Amino acid sequence: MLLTCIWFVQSLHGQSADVRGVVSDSLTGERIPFANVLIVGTTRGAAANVVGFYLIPNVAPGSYEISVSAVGFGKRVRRVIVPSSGSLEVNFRLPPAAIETEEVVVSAFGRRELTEINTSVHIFDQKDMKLNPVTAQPDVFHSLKIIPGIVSTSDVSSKFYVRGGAGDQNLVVMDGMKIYNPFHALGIFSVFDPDIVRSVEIYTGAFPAGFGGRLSSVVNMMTRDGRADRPFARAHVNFLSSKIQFESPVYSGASVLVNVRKSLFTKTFGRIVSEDVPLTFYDGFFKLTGQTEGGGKYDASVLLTGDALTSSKPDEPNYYWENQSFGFTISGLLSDRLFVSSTTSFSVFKVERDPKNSPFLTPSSSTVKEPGVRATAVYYTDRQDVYQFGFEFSFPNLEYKLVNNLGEPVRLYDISPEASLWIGYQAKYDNVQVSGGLHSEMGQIFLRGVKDYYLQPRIHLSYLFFGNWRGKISYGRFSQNVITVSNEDDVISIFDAWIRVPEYLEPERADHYVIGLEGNITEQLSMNVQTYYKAFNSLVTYNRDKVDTFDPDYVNGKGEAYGVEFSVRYGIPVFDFYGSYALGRTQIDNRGFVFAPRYDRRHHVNMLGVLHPLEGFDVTARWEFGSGFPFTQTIGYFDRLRLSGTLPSPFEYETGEPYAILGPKNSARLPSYHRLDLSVAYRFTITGSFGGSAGIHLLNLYNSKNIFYFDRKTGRRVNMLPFFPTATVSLEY
Amino acid sequence: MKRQKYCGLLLTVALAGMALSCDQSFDPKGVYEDRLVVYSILSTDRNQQFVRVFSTYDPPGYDPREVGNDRQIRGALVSMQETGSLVQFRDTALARPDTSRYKDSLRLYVGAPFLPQSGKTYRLSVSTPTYGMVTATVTMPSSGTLSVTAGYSAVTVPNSTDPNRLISLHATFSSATRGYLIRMQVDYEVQTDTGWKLERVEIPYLFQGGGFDLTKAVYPTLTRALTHATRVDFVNGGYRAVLNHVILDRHPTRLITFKHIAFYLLQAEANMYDYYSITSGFQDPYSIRLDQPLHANIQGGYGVFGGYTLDSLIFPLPVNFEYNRR
Repeated sequence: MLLTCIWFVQSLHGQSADVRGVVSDSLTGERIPFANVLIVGTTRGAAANVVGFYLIPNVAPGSYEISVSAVGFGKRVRRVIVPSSGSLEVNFRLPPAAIETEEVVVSAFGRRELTEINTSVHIFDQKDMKLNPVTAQPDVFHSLKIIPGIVSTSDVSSKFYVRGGAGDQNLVVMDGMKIYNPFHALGIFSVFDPDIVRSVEIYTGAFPAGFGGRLSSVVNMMTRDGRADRPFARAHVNFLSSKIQFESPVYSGASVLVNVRKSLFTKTFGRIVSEDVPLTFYDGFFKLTGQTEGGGKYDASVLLTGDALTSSKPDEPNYYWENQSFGFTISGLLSDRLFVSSTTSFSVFKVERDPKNSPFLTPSSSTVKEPGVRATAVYYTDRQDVYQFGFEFSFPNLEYKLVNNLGEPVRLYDISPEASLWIGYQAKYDNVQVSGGLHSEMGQIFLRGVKDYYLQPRIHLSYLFFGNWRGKISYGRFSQNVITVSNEDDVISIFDAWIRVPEYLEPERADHYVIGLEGNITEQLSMNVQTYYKAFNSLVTYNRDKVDTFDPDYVNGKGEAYGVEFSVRYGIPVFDFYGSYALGRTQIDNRGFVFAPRYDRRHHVNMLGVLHPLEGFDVTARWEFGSGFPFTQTIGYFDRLRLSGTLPSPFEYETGEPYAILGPKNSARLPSYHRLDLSVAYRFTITGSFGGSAGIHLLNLYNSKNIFYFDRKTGRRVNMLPFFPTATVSLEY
Repeated sequence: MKRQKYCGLLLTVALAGMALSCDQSFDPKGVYEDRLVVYSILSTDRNQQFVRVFSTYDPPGYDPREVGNDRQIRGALVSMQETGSLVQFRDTALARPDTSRYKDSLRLYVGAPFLPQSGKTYRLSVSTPTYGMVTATVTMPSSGTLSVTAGYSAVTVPNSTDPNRLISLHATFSSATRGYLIRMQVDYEVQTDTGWKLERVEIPYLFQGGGFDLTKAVYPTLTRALTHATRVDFVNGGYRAVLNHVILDRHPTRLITFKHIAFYLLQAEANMYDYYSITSGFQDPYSIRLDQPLHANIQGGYGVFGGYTLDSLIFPLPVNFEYNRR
């Protein structure tokens, strides 16, 4: 089918002179994604893709100036002579902005989204990620939480919930590899070191046809390439871990990047979560990058992570987590206008609980092994329209082993193939930009038959009113076949097991509707407002009527989430400000029993100000406020008789066990969350290429006592991070 | 100047944050409701019935085990009514067998003589001056039928019958039956120092992994009645394994006389079945649910009022039964 599409669109291709090439960093040789390429004096231009490739089709012969700009880089303009036919390759090497200080650097929260058609996409680069005050160590996912619509149930967890979606409804992809559990240390940090991440695309809703299998969001991470100009080393230490990073050219056009982190001071966890947490972790990332003629590129990536929570007490359980992901991506022009990218990957995730002598817990483990292939193709037409198509094919092996409440060992195992195809089209008509596509879950169609929800339209419309004020509308349909299971009544869950949605249930599915308006109020001040409605047409929820083995554990429920998000950005050379407010409401309907899920946050405010008082100095303040999450109150106890023993049993002699009577589910709210963080970072040069950075971070400056969770059995309240000063030092050569 | 201005702005934001944010108190407990907790399971196999009456409790802290005394209610008015008849229950004390948590004696209400009738509906009423009145209703299943449809020879001469021979039973249930349990038991007398003592042993209906290894035996459990009739098979090899266990392991030297084979049909009505199943991990060996939902049918309180009927089919064993040791 993919070849048919390629043949079809190629037949549309007329003779013309195309201008194409790659944009890269003049210092390191690394490709620069999302650079803007413009033919000066015309309206023609293009945006570079994630591997820095751009193509401007059908340019009339003549002499032109082409300008290229990208966030964090100096602008470059070059005069070229476009021939009357064929193609002209023009590659650009942009200097980092730190070298050309006269350039106005587009601020960390730049205006890139304004150029996008999608309503709910945010693009973060390394600078954005490092702006946030650091909780012991920099973290990619912590920095994403500033985006309106993304909430976390705690500031000691990187786990996140997007626009009323559950935590397992987020697709996390790194260099094309799916990462099932991208967290360290009970979710306190993600497994992604910002120093290896080049950019992150975050879709908080209505994501494009190229993504599927999840209901709520996509976090698509592209990692950095190793430096191709010279060897580079970085050592980093903070209150929690140490890190060594090494980059180097290895042979012609190829480079390598190695990054290894290891926890050092585990007692720091105790300060973060106010509990003794005997936890260790490591992660390692390896990437080999090569470049070929004509904009081609190949990457081999390996991500290895591991966590161990091992208690010395015999009655406390041990937990182990592991990720192993391998990916090989090759991209480049397959023909004059057909750019293809293909990733072959293998991801493994394991989690295991060893209860030791715990009287309340049983052994349990969950494993996901997923080999897969993903390919995308982009075809550029004469009039700058773009066709996109691709497929993804994988075999997720899901295994979940546990001992259930009856004391029986249970093993769930599934190896159903997943296959999806998509096709998309993007065009511009005067002030209107259109992007539409169809994502189809072919694997599910083969397994479960044709259902309308396996054919998933994705539509984005954007209208430019005036200046750069745009109105946008998006719609998308999504389904999800794998979910995590945990006890719905658990206040925190540290053991998430992945299972396939049982065959007797419909897969989870949702429709997203988004309307947005954005633009610049002044040259320095931009705003964005979006409203969304998310219809969860099918969710997997507890069967509240379950009595025995003849009743299924789960039933299909429904739900809805809706809200409005407002954000403003202000940027001048000496100061950046970002503020956002999100108002949202989420409800789950379990066959008439309606409740708010525990991640339903009604109000969420984020403010981030960054002052650049001196060259190399950044002073950052961040304040966050979130209204309380729902929880279920305990309204009393009684001694419950189990009628245990062999029937007919003498219940009259039984002494019951305490049973907590719960109030209406999630009808109460935890206290509001608020926190102010302040950090000062300084970047220095010692001599030549030898330099580094140092930072002081004051977290929760006024020591707000934000509740993390309470133990229902003891009533003990555990708060989140108290006032917590940390420091980081990084040396680079 | 500009920098000072933005420093000031940052400071203002910080102060505003502090001013807006004040720590809020939090209590995981909701409004406590003092309620009655009532348990009663009526059975047709005995002529005295029990009702246990407790109250809910609200520990001063958060650990329910802080409460050191069983919240048993004394002095309640407990009655059970069936068309035309009313049974008053009396406040009684029994010795508590398990004193690990509570030391006081068990307090409960006894109705005697009171033999519930199959097929009848009973209304339980419990009232106290403090807690008011709670009620519940139960309909006892009508008597079922039980018959041996195959393998009768194995019952009386197990050693002379193929160990794989099935002893099949056919049972019919009442429309009020939600769950059933069919058990096969052997009654025997064993001579002790003080005289002959009657003992009972149960026959498994299944063995895991083949063979008749009693350590891998599976015994019948309360099962949902999906239809009004069912067939249950016991295997002769299991029967023989139990008899051998009695004479070789349990009483290797004493004199033994096997008296009866008894088949019991227990029919549980819906309240009892649902409660029992939910509190027993849904009786679902495949479930991955780890929650324990609340199930109660006491109007205005918690607990359960259920019932079961018990029917039996008894076969006297011959005097020269193969396993007797005289």
